Amino acid sequence: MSGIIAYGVSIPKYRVDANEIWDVWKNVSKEILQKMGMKERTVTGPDEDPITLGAESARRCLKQAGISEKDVDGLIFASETNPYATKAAATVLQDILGLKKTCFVTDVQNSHRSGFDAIRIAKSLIDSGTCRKVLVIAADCLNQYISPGHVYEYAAAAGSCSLLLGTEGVIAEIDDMRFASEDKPNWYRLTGERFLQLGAGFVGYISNWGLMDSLKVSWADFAKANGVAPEDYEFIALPQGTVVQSFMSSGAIKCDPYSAIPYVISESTGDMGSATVLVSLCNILDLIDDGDKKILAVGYGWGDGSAVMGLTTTPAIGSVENRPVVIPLLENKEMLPYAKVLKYEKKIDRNTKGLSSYY
Amino acid sequence: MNFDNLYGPIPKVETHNTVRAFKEKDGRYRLIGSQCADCGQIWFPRRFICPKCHNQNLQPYACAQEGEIVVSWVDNMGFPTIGYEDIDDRLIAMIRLDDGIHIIAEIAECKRVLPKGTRVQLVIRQQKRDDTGNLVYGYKFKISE
Amino acid sequence: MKRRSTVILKVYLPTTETEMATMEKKTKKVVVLSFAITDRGYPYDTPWRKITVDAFTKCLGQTRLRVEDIECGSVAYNERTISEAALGTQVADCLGLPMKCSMTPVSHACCGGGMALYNVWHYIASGRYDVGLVMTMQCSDLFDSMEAMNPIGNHSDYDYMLGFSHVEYSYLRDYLYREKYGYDVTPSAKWSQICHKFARLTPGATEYGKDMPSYADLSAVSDEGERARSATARGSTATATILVSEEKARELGIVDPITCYVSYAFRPPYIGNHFFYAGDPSYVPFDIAEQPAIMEAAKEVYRDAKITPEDIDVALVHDLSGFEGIMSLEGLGICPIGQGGNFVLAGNTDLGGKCPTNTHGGGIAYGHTSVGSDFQINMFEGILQLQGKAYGRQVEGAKVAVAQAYGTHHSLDIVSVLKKGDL
Repeated sequence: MSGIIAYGVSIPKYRVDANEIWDVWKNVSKEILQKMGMKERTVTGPDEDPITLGAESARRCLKQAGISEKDVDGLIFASETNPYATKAAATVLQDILGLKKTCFVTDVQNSHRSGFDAIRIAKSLIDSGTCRKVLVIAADCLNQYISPGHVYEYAAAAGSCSLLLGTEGVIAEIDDMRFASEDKPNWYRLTGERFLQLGAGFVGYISNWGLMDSLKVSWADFAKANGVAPEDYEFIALPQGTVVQSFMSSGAIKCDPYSAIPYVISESTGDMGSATVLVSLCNILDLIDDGDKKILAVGYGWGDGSAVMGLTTTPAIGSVENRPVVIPLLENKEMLPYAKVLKYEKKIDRNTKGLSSYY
Repeated sequence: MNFDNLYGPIPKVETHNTVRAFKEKDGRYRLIGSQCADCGQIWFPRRFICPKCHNQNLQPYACAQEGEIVVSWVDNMGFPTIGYEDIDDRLIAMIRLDDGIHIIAEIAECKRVLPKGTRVQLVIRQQKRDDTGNLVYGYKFKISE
Repeated sequence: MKRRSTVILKVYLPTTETEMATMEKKTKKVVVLSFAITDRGYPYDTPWRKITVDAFTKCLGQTRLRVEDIECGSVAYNERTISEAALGTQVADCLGLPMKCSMTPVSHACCGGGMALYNVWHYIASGRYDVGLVMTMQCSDLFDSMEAMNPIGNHSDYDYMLGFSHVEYSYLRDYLYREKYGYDVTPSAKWSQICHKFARLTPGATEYGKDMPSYADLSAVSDEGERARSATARGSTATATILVSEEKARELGIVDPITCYVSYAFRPPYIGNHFFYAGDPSYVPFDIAEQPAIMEAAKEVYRDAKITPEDIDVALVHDLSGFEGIMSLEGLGICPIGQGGNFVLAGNTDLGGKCPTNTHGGGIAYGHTSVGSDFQINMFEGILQLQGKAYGRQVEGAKVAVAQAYGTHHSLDIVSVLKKGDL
């Protein structure tokens, strides 16, 4: 059965403290900020973007798998902040990783849910026999696309997760995936626009209650098709753009929040877009040494809908070396002042017609 | 506010053109140099004739992706290199890769001089934009995990 | 001639002393007739043609020659600032040279001036021409003073420069040299102190007439200290040199002619390859902390000029940083490799020392003008020393001077020997 063969994560080294941003803007009450559960978030360096983050997580993933890059015959790059609007960023990654030219390579852009969509496509490719090993790279730099002073600035961050999918040497089998989608006027950026906007507002109906509505549909479909209940899952990775979102999601699918809260990473990384839930899933995979453990991963993309994925670990997971993967990355950090964050995220309007930005 | 800010300005001096940058992408992405099929000598950047034995039988060779610092220096003189201005206190190093190739590269996310022998590994980062504004990706190094 | 070439080309290499002697007999001696450098402080709106004409007329004015007498020439320029195609023709035209006068353009980084001299030297030494013009120019249209050049990446190994500038190469080289041979910052401080002293004796220098910095400032381990030990800026500069054959020199009745010899060598332009140089096995232990290209060029030019390093009375080297000058002295064979720091600390580069060096103040005095005058200013000081016109900084009885310059982190070097009383 197809599933995850290996995983890799990359998170930028730089962080900004939520209080540092709050001191500048004071655009939300401290109480709400604390309820959101955001302590700090990642900041991309001046030379980082989804492609560089994706390249790093993919390298780590291939290293963990211990396979030659020539054995990979599919690559799907999932991102909602792809630097290229037309050209495939996945081809850049293909060359960076040295994959063969006949590899199936494509981009997937579908809000925060891009990663789940890419896994769905990859699983179909494998199950149909089209590809043997598919690399899914989910990477986002939301932080670069949120305007200064926007409330989501406390959460919008960057990170990447790569999963190698296939049928040989699987450490976690993907049992099923179910989706629910709907056109919601929320979290979008039209062509030519510099910044993302939460069309329906930060705490509005669509942003948060929409999450719950959509999750109920996809979860009901998943539960019915597989004959499972929330209690069957010991480990759950929930949507966690802000920490409070995981509590809301657990309410929607009526699971025990304590199956999910220990694996939530967004309080220290922020919302890494399509990579967030997958990094949380890797955090879970880091902690499991035995087969037959049931994992539930739930994704939600503002503006498009939700996804539910059920996984079962295999005994092979015990022999994965160099774990944990996620925790050391969370600990390797350097805090930045807010002014430098604005510079690194290129949010200051500068002279772009001179000989360079300074001369 | 425009996208030139997001991707960085397009430098007006000493800027690669898109096609020239494309031709050397394997070298920048994966440190693809050359190995002489006759004398076995390895080279980076790639070559088309071997300066050691003067044969033209050179094959692509993937250099080691890890190495150690030979000497390093933090560029904090206040004249940031054009196209790299946003990186404050850039650490520049001469690196000896594990296969003996020497390479000059920036050490990402490090702002202090590293002692000789510090282990480093390849990472890919954005470089200076090319003259049509396309993003150029290429090698940097960082301290080994 | 020296480097063993590819399998395709069979290069004739002289093997016996007789053959060598035969070859040497074929070259004529080349004499420096006159030279000129433009003054400091050109207004920003000065075009390169104006600077070029100024240097040329100043140079020609010192001679009894007319413009029509110039038979050949070479012009060094920097492709960063002068983008005219077929630049040789443009220069010949703007100077009003005769139609038959060939003008070879050279873009050879900061030692381009040396390369232009190398060309013209060969035109005359071969016997085809008797009068040749060497032009160099650097025009501050964009970025070409030291401060402005710092942030520019290096033009060599273009595809792989990825944001590494002159300054970065220079510091890596200095630090490796210090680490390899166990020096702190003092040799560089001592070097710059001596250069600062000389700069105050050189009317053309940027530092002329300014206060002398203290040794404490020069030896500070800080960015300010590094700047105080490095070359300064000059801006738009052009030079002109007229070379003549020995017959022409006799015909013109020159008193005390200065003959010149020049040689060139290169290393791989990609600086990483300085750690493995395929050309000559004896250079294998060397890397960026030594100067094999200077050694290679010096070997040839010393043989041509029939001198040994002990004969050198004054050395003029390209020193954008103190350690760079020290490494050049080692490359020229004036002191053993790795001993340059101690050589300088012992005061040997000062007047009265074993080999007075950069008596014009070097990079600190004249700044980095790249192809504008980086080689020529060293050569001109050598000529002044041999002519006994270096007044307050004169090396008594100087008969042999060596001038050197490099381009792109010492991947190419020019070494020239100037001799008095050689005809």
